[in-house]
Amino acid sequence: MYGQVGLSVLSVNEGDKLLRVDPDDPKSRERFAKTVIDLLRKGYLISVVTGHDDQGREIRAKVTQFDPEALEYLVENTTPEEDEDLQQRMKGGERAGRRRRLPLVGTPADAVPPTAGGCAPELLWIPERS
Amino acid sequence: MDSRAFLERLEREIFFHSLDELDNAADLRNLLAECADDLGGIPLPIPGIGLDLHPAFPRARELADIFDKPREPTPTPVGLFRRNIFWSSRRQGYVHIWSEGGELGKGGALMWKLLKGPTRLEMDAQTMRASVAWGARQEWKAYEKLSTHIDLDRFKRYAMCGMFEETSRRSGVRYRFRRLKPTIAISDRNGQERILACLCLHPIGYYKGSFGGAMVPTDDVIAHLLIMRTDEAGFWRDANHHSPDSAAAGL
Repeated sequence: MYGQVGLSVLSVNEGDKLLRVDPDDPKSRERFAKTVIDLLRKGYLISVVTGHDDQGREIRAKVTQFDPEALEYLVENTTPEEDEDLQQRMKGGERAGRRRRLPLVGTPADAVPPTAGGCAPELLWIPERS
Repeated sequence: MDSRAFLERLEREIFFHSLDELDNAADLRNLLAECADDLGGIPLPIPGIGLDLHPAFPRARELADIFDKPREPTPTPVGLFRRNIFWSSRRQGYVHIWSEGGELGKGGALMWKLLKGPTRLEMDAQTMRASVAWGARQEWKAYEKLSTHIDLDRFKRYAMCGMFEETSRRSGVRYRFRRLKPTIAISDRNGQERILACLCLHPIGYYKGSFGGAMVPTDDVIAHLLIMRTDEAGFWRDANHHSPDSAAAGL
């Protein structure tokens, strides 16, 4: 699945749905960028793989924005190592931000629809006036 | 598409078609997929089971009201204020607390009542009723997707036992992801295993009084795993926290 360029969306009716994009086709790029920006606006969590740890598990980051011109995801640091690195750089006087860019091509991405929380007891009691 | 890819796709479609043959609601589900203007799809309303959807979801209110007609809200008597609702482990129920007659200490009085929630047995039965909403094709695809996110050992554990574990790199909390049950957050501090909370969360929505969400069970597990890996604080913020001894915890 990750050999393809695109975004995998969890869907109720179809299960996993893959949105493909052809980076060389301007119309496909435009359509894809519009969809990703729309998903972010609707509150979807777009999660991208930024690397793997020493046990081979995915390290993921949350996409905060999408750059339609450069076809890049904008993400924030999520791992303790990245936070530590950032602190070291800032101590050294470097102006560094938490946000960084990841190219669409070669970055596996998944979208999760907004969550409705979980089952809560539907109990209601309104006392009568004493 | 070359002939090999065509044959592979054909084989896959025939397999999915055979799965649909086992599924009475497949046609309805496919129709909803065609009508959906949101990539998340449209949840299937089921007679007799309430559907609780994310308020931002398109037509959430209309969908939820199809088989669960909204009741007129009971007006709150003037001078009464709801203070809190919480789970009591000792009393095994939800304690509702109201106050009357102004602020506490200034003539105000507290009133409380214990209400029992549904039992685990009732929630399991409701989950079985809700299962008509889920398709075998979608669950199969979810299994395929999950297998790309976890290693073979844990995937086999999930296939056999319906659960697997992963420890957060950030917090060190161990999460036990379970099919059709809330995820258990476990602390291993000082060598002592302790349940922190049972985290219940469903993308788009869930069927009231059940353990089931709008999506197939394994898609819910994938959502928990991805949210935990991506935004652990957000996972705790958005999920409902159930006490381990409550029925909703599913323990």
